[in-house]
Amino acid sequence: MADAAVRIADLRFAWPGQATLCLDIRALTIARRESVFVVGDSGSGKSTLLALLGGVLVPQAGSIDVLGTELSRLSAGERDRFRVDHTGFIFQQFNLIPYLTMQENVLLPCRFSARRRQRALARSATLAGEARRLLNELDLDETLWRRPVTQLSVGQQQRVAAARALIGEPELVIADEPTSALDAGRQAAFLDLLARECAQAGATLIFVSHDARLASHCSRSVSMADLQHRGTPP
Amino acid sequence: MKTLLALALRSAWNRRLTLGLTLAAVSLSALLLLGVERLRTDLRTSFALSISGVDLVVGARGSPVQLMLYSVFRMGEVSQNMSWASAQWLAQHPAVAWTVPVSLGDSHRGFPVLGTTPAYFDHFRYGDQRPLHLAAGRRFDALFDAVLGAEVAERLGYVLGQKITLAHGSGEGPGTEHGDKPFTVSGILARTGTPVDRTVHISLEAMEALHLDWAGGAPIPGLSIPPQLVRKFGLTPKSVTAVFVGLDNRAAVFSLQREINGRGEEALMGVLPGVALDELWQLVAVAERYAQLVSLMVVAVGLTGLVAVVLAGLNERRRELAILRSVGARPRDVFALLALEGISLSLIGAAFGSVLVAMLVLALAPWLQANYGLALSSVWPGPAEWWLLAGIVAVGAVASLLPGWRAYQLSLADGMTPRL
Repeated sequence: MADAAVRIADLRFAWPGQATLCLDIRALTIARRESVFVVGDSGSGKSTLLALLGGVLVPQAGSIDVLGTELSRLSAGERDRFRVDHTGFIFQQFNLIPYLTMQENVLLPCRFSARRRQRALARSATLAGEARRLLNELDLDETLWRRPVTQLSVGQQQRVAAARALIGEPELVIADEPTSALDAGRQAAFLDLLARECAQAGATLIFVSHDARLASHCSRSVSMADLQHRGTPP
Repeated sequence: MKTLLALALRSAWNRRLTLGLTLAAVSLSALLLLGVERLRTDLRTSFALSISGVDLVVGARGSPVQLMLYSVFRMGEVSQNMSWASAQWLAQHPAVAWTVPVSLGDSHRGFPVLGTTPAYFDHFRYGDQRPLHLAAGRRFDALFDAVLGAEVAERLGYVLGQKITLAHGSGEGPGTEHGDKPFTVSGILARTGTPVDRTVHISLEAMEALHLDWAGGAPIPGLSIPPQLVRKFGLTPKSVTAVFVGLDNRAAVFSLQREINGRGEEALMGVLPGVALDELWQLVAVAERYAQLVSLMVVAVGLTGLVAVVLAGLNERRRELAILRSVGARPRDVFALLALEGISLSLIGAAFGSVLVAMLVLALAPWLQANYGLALSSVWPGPAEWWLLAGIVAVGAVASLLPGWRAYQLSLADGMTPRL
């Protein structure tokens, strides 16, 4: 299955100094272009799973393969590079760097990744042009672009974060409770928009939330409780 | 690196008030440290350049430093004069090439008056053996002629032929004017950057004539001798403040000094200018060291404040750093971001400090020149100051590793989700 976006096998992770395993996942495979809803209560290990997928953490045992690359074989620096080259992230809130403009925030991944920059330039003539295209795509009106990002509504901020996650067409988009600060109506709208954009860009979407009601917007739903094997520490 | 630099700049601009104040503290501490050093070295140079070519300064026995300060720099006072007989003896001594007697005590509008002989203009040297030059007019010729230093003429707006009156002592208090015997400005000296610039020069005879009808620092009641009659009296001075001595052969200076110090007729001392200045510097060295110590402490306080501010800002920036991590920043980028901030601030602070010193020198130099005849020569830092500047930056840079290291650790622990 070379076209798997994520393949996890016998993965075990415990935080240093803790007796119990935080994550113990026998197997999880996510195909490319799939949109997967991962549901779990707080403390169920969702954020740890995302940190492992982002290569910020490495498991004590087992394998975590992203886009055909075994992350634990990469050095810390290579994982940092791999992360920005292939993954876009959207977090709960305060996703934006307050002293940068909307466009600069969107273009951040292109500053750290040559690959993202090249792929962005393959779509638009200039980086700024690509940022504007994405912002338009995400219904961020041109009148908002010059405004300090701290003055945007939470929904607007999250859409800027989505544009940042999507720029340079990473294969994987990981969203960690991006809608928890939005009201119910906007939650669904944001998730729909995100899923549509990911599909359009051919990206795999992993959407993590504690709110199972949103699951229907994704093609598949996985629960943390089902994933966790809860064995003994390695 | 370009990305990081741009981010560091934008981030710093976002916190410009706090960082600006920190920068001000570092700049002011650098100003203090450099200023103390500058004043120290420049004053030494200026003092050393104020007299040259004089082998011995001779006066009544007392403090060599006091005699030097008074006779050369017009600072302070000496309690006793030396007799004219001793001055004559020196002038005729076989080892002596020339003597210049000087007599101080009067003033003109705050500027000291120096009674001397025409030999003063021939033999007095300053700086690198440079002689005095008249910018205008001639030496004193008539009895009540005066030759002005450049600063006196400029500050008071005097021209040749101007009538001026001198005051007894420092000229403070009523009834101390020598109003009955006005002087005429006969010459104005070119600027020297030494105390000569703020001196009014008159002849020893004129000095004597001024005081014919004075005794014990006050006019003698009922006695007034008009200027046209002073020639009727002997105008040979009875005493002088000091005598500058030049030798035929400098090697003889110590034997002459011994002879002067052991002279039976009068308790005298011969002072080597260089030795007296060294003694002076030894006296002030303690104060200098305290000033240096205090300014070093102030720099330490400034840099500590800088590190504290950068560290304090770090907590508010944890989310920002996590976002940067999620878009590909490595932990060492985060380290660089924070360290860069501290290093830049200490660098800019040190630079601002030296600019402030330069501005202060430009602002203060005329005042020091006018009031003390001391020249602050350099606007740019001297070698010692470059070392101090480098020291500030180096210490600031090393101290900035602390917030950098802290950020590095935080970003390793936080990853992309800050645990706040």
